[in-house]
Amino acid sequence: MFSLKAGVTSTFIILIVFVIGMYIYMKISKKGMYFRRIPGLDALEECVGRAVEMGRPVQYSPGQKGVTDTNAPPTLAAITMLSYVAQICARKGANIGVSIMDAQVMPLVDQSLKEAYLAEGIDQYPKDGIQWLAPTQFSFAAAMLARLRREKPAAIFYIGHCEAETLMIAETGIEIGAMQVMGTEAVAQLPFMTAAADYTIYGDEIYAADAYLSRNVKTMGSLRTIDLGKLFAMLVIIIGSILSTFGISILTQILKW
Amino acid sequence: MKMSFLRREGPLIFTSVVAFFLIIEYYIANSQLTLIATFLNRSAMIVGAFLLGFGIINMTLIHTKNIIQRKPKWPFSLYLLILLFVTLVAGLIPPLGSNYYYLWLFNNIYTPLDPAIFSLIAFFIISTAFRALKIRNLEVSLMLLFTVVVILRNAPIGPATFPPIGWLGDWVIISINTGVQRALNLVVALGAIAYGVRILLGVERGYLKGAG
Repeated sequence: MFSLKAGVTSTFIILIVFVIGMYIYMKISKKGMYFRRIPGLDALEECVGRAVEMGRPVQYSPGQKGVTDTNAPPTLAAITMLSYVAQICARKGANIGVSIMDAQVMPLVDQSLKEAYLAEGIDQYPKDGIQWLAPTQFSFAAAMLARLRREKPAAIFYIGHCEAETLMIAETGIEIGAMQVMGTEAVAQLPFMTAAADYTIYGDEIYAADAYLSRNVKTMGSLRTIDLGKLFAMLVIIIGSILSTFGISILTQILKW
Repeated sequence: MKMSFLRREGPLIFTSVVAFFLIIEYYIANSQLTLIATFLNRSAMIVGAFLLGFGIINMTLIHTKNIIQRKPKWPFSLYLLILLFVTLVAGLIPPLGSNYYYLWLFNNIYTPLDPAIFSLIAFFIISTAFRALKIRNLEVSLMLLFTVVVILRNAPIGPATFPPIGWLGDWVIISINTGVQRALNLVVALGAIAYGVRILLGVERGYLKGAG
């Protein structure tokens, strides 16, 4: 029969409340709603513009993961952002190259580029620029560094799940004089990005790209729900800390329910 | 109209139904649901593995073009293709994936090269640290201070010459670093849930049709 699994009841209730809250926010959100600036997303146009002025290409990579595991959200978010970058490239006449590590994302990247160029009224998209480099981390890093040094892009976008190769790519980008926008949900890589890239898109901000760039009222409303979720988490942490200090474990028990 | 449905609405409906089903399976205990979820997960893995062939075709086409058109540095493309197909043929000799030739290539070429590339990161870290830790303002000064504390805590000379650096370093790592990392992880998780729900509801479709 159908019954809830042990230990997931509280998270199930929180998820349901979160989804309902998000739905309500998406319904009541209005045009012109304020949302804080995300400099990394604002800089997409600037980076491509600089590449056009310098007569050099743009390089994009949607991270190192595919779309069939738990790391799918950052990869999908990276492909969403690629659509915008490709559209800017098509509009401004910049040459874009995409480096891929997980072959699963190739059809999505191909389709994104095709649609982005079509949206700007251009039939031909840079299909040859989409390259699958290698399926493992350091083979990919070596091939990516070689590609960066060979093509010398003026703008590098490295968005999505990434690991130790981030710093290698960022440092090579600095050496070749590229402007870099990097973003990831991998918390351990954020300090490297902050230190080496021109703009960093932090954690959950990569998921906000579609809402932020399209200014779609519905999706902007969903971003507000995340802020409410943060507020709720802060309250739980503060109340939980106080209760634990006095040896009361009721909140822990509720969350483990 | 039909083509548009196959390219946009179709995948969107399919994604929503599968995602909804997998979420339900995560929370509800039912053997039939688990069976179907396992089937879906395996199907995704098989499709993913199949797409590796796509990558190899892409690589072969691009480098063959480089060779035919004699693009700059085309000999490297030739070298890459030779190695790609030598490894592929070696891997196909029975017993698959564990024959002498394949294992020789893997153990003597790939395995040493992988950590060699990884080791380069030490030099990249030094150059990044040198640039990032130049004192420009209060924030960078604080970052430099904490960096020095953590470096001294990890280096044997730190605790040997100044014992309190041990607990000071522990405090920085356990209290400050862990707290911030947990906060970020929490925020990332919230963002991922909201993103997943948007995909589920079909509101987020940038990944499907390009540009919003």
